[in-house]
Amino acid sequence: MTLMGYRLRPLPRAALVGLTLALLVVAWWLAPHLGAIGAARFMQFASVLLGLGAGFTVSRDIDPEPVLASAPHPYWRTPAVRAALWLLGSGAVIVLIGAIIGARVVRPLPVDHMTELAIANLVFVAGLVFLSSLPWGSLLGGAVALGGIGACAILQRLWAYWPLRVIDDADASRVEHPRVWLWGTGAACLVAGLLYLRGRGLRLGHLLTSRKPSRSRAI
Amino acid sequence: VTLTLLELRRLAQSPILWGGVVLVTAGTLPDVMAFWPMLEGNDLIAHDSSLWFMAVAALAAGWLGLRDRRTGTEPLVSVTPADAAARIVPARIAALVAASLAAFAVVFGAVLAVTAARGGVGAPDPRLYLDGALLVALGGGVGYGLGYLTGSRTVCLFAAPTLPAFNQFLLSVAFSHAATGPTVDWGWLLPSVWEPQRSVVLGFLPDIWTGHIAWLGALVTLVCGGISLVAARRAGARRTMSVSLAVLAFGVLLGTISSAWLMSRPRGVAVFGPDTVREFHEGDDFDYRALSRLARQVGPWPNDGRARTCAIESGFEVCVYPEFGSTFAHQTALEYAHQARFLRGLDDFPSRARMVPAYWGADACTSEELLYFEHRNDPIIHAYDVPLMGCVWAATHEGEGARQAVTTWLFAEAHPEKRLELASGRMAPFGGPAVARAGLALAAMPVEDVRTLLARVWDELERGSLRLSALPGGRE
Repeated sequence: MTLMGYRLRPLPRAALVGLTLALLVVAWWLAPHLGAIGAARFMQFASVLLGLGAGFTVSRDIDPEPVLASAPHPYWRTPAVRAALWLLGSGAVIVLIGAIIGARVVRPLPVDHMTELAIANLVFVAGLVFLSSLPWGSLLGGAVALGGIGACAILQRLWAYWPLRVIDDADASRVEHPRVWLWGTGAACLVAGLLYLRGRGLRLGHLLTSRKPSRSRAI
Repeated sequence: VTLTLLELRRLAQSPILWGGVVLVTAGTLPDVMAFWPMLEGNDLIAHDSSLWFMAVAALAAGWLGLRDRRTGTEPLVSVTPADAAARIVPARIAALVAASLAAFAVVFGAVLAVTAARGGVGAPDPRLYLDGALLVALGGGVGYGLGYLTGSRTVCLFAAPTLPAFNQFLLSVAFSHAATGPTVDWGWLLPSVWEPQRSVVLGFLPDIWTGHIAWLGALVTLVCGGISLVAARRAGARRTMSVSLAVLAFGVLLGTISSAWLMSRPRGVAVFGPDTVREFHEGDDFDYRALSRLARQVGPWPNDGRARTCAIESGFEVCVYPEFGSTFAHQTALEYAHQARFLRGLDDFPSRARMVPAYWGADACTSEELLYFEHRNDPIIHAYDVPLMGCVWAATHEGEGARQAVTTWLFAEAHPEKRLELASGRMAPFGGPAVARAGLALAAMPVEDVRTLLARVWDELERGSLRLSALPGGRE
């Protein structure tokens, strides 16, 4: 537990917890005003926002290099634990948002289906931002991930067979199993990020660095 | 000024801003291509893109707001003489506003350039550019404020997508209230609003743009003035504080006047005739039956001579507003000529169509004209949304499936190349897959056989009593 505490210590917990609480409150307030499309959009938006939070589980902004230079380098296990916890927590928040919307909407909605899609979105966005935060830091990496999501949204409008449908429009989609694509891409990005970290340690943003930290010094 | 220019030059090199320009322009182009090219119409599409560009501006500005902290120059800035430190923030804000205006001009100009290249005519409304640019500047101001005041990357990143998304959710709240009764007057006060209905003849219904520009200007002034005031207070620069307070006071005054004006605007305006207009302020104003009665009393839109760009095709004449262009008139005439040819002998159809404003009309036809309400859909589709048969079929919702199957047949006969798209579902059918199947089954038959079939059931079609299942391939 102590080790876990140290691993989670640098995270911007206040902002991340504040975000989830704000989402729950807004879901409670908005739910009666949302129709089927509005509710689905809100859950997709919440999943994108929570997915972006994964950018703060790994980057040089969170684990500053000057500190790490003289300390044991946290290895891939630290961001892996953080990202896993963030995904679990965010998934729970999305399920909770779905429950709130289901309980407060005027007309019954397919909340289970919407939750399933939102969780697939969460994994995809989290994977994307996790990978992009490695070289560019949390903010720029998040901007790149947002750009990627925007590009996906454009491509899915232009091509009905585009598989990564973050803002899913079921009528326009010709893709079979879109959730599998989102899960797969998100997981692949997360694994790629962790493999990169395993090879280099957390010397983020210094892609040209040649020094490989010793495995024995890892937390 | 030198400092502002310096910051502006740095912002002009921002990859976030340029990436955003490319992405937002690319995201807007499918909408631009989906409608008939008109400068007076696509300006609204360009305006709508400002909502998403707002997120880009917020990100770029948040990055700027964090610069001193990122680069470790915060201690250096804090020990510079008070006046100099207090000038840095206003200079950055001024550069930010200028960069927002310029970057949105690129997006707006690109959309209009594509429209013009596709043959679009008319005059864009410059107020829409200003409104969109101020929205982008507001996003930039809020992003910079969050970066500068909180120093948090987390807040800056989360704020960027939240600004436009929250605006949209608030819009849905405003409109859901309006639909269910209680008065919600703040709908027009949101930074980005659902655009009011627009007609090239009647303008915006209601026209809120001047007031909305003033309101956004007030918000930008308040945000920028507030940040400057905090910066000046931190640096202890009294002169900058005084100027910031004056700016804030101006913002409050402008905001009060413009918000009061916007709140007095109706939520919607329905035009029934040149002299009959109704404003909707509350959901209760929208009594559909009473309004339909009024529309019947007023009658069809009179010929005011404004639809003067005409084209004749196979004896069918179409007159549209000049803003739509002669190609539009020609294409529409071609579509109606197709319909008239296939329906000849089945009934008495008009041989002329005249464009009327997008108004509330009970009748789509006069005794000799089809009234073609202005719409920016491609005539290939729109002429089948308002088909010739509408002039002779009784107005009823019964038997819609069978009627739409006949429309689909006409469409498939006029555009054989679209049959595959209709069959595969790549093209949205006029009334669902079952209707598309029935229409395509008719299209597979010889034309004369279909005409014989239609002649036999025409009375039922006219009354609306024919079921889709009575047509070949029409399983409901």
